[in-house]
Amino acid sequence: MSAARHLLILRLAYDGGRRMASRTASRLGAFAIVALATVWPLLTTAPSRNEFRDAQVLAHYESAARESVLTWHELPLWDPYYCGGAYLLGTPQSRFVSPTFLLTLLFGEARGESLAVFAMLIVGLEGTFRYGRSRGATALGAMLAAPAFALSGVFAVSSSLGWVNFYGFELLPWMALGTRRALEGERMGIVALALSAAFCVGFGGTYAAPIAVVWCALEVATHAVARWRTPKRLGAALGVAAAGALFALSLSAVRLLPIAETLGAAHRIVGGAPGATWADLARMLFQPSDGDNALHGAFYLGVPIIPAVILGLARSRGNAGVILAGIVFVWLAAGYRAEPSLFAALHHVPIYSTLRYPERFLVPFTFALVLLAARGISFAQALPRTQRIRRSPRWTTAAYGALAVCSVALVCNLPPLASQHWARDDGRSTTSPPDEAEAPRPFRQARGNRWALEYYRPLHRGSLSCWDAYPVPQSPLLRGDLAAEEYLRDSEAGEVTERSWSPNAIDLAVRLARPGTVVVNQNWHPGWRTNVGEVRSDRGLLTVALPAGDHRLSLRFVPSSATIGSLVSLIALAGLVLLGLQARRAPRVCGGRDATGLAFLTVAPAVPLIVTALIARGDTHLFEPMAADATGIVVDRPADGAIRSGTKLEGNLELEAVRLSDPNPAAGTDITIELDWRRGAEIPRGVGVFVHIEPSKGDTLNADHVLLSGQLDFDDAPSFATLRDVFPVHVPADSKGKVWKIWAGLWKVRDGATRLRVVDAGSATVVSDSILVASYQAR
Amino acid sequence: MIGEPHAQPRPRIANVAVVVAKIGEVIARWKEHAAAWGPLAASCAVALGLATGARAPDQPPVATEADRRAAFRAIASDEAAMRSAAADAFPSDLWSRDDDFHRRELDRARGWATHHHVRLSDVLSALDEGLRAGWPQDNSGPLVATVPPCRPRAIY
Repeated sequence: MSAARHLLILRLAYDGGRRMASRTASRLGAFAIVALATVWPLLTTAPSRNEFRDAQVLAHYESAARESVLTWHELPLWDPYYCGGAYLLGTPQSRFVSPTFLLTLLFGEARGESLAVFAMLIVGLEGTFRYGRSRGATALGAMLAAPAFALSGVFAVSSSLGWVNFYGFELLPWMALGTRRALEGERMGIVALALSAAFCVGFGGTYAAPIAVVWCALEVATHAVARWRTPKRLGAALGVAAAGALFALSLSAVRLLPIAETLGAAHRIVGGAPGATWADLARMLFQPSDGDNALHGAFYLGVPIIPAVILGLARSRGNAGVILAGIVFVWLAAGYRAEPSLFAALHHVPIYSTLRYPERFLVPFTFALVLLAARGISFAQALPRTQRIRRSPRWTTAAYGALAVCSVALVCNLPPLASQHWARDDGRSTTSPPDEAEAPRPFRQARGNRWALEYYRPLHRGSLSCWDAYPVPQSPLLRGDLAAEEYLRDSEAGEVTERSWSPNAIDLAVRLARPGTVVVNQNWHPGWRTNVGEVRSDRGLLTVALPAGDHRLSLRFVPSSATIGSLVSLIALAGLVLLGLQARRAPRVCGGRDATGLAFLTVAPAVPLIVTALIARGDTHLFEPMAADATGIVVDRPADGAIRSGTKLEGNLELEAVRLSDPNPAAGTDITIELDWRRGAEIPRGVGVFVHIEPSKGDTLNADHVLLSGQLDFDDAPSFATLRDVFPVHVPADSKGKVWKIWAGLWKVRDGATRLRVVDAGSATVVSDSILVASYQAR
Repeated sequence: MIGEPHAQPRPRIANVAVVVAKIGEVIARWKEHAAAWGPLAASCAVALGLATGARAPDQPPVATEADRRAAFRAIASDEAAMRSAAADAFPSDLWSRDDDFHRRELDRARGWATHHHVRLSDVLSALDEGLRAGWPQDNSGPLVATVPPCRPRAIY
């Protein structure tokens, strides 16, 4: 084929591409075809069950919500099937408070999940396109670059592991776009920001929404810097953006309040100093997944994007915000490996202190690179039209060449991007889904198995075996072998019969000869209400204290955070509808009257919160820290028989005493170690306990932990009381005759993982701020 | 303040007329619209067809009562050994130890189901029923019907 014909084909492709990019229908069609090709293996195996452990749990949340709605005709508030009962709406990783739940309702969890992935890819592609356009990219540039973000490696990994809530990152461009347009004073900017943020929060997960908020904050910051010379206009812009942020919070309240309640009662504690080298980060972005190393290609973007990014960097104007964002996010992604560590600083901010994996900040970094690539293509399109280039045929040819190379490279990047999805999806371990129970049978808690969680709900069994990323409030008294799920504490006092059961409602007939307590084999939560007697927690177990007599007991799960949150969200939604209608008439907020109206709409959703705070009592969690042996953790003084240590550490902390259950334990059994700590009023935050148990020969055992007795955080512990840290240690079967020395101390689980200095050894031996607390010999 | 001054509001009847006119225009140009939106609609239809039409892998046959009891006996009899191995792996963390035991238990259950060509859900159901009803098994101690509360490790 002649060169002229090649050029003609390129020219036709270029014109066609431009036309396609600038028309919404054809562009969306192209995006849908790309998305379809990408998720083809997922769609063709849609009903299969992903056997990966996390997929089991995350799919279960969605299935349990579906069952609540379709089988029990209830709102998905309480999940009796997992961990002995948990607040489903307050579970941070569930994703059913989002539009994609409709797909789950219609097609079931497994098929709905693959369709949700398909839909979210289109959402991400279009969002990236629109944000790119708002950043000054041409339609062609934005369209060619969009797949590099929306199809990037993080999404390939997420769908293969069942981490569907990571697709919340596809809403990052929409949140950024909403913020940007709100800063321009546009009403639709507020609507876009609020809807996309609420979608993102409702879609679950603990990374997408907080990380997207950082992008939005940078957007505001760069806007403020650009407009600082016109303070009046800047103030108005910030006002509209603040309204957008408040609307986003209000609209998300139905999820945010329950999640805040859950995590407020059970802090997610993240320790260590995670980080990655620059070389590792580069491998995550540019080295395709090879199956051997999970990090390779985990955020795959593809090498072909680089020429367009370089061209984008060459563009002098309008890049500062994107480049700044890129620098900030790659710095954050390096975690504690970067010196100084921006991630360490961010870890001091509430919510962000719960983020464990800094490399996930590569998602917004890839977004920044994609924006640069889109701007690079736009720059290349504009170059041949500039006067200086037009004068020289050689430069004109070079400019067209650059445009062709960058555009073709981005198109050629599509197969590698899609192949990452294909490879990861093919690598999944899948199986046929469990059959739903043919005949309904009574619900029972089973010991269960969280590694195969999806098998239990169809059997109408709960799984006490439990995992989530936060310490789930779970009673140690739950049993997986009961003949009936409701019983009397004192079985002689009368009898209890189950009349009806559903996740949020349990009706019982109780006959009591004397006052007694009905025990329900589920976790207590302050949202449980009763029509008679009083709901109580018995070491975390749900119980109802009743007077003597015959009772028709009705237990209902109606948590305040869900009712108030729903009300706030509904008012915010009504406000947004009004705002959307106003936007058709007057797109921008303009003048004092508009500003007053907007302020009214923004503040209105907060009314239920304020009223509740003033007149009603919200649910409160009763915190009952108990050691595994059901003894108290917070006591007045160390137990009799404990050996006094009196070792003082920096930060007003002291090791008061130590106790061992047996100084000569049998090999193959457990011993119990008790360290009695005391804290002052002010202590450093994020302190953990390190325990190294050194044998006379062989490997050291590590018993480092953060929660005292597996329950209580130093930060939440009362001051000037003895804090019992009781934990077991297994004595290996092959350790007969060995002498084991127990070294312990305190360390900062974040902030570089440094040890707290011992300032007064007391009666103990101290080496390198490690206290020799006891020793034992295995028999 | 940002933005442009307010436009004069249009009378409601004019809005209705505009909407009616637009609908008429859409009907008149349906072919053009169909061509424009066709790829999107077709892709969505294909995705929907693939997801709803895909077949799940075949299930193995339902386990007999004898299979279920044999599965329970085989797996429950190893409970003490599996818990001991889990204790060696996690000497001081009760939740991690129990979680590791469950991983081992699932491996055994999956292996048994594959070897005897029965559904995994039947084996898991047998483990539950056997524990509840006290089916015979040869474990060196009583089976444990409780779990330690979920306490994910702060550091992996």
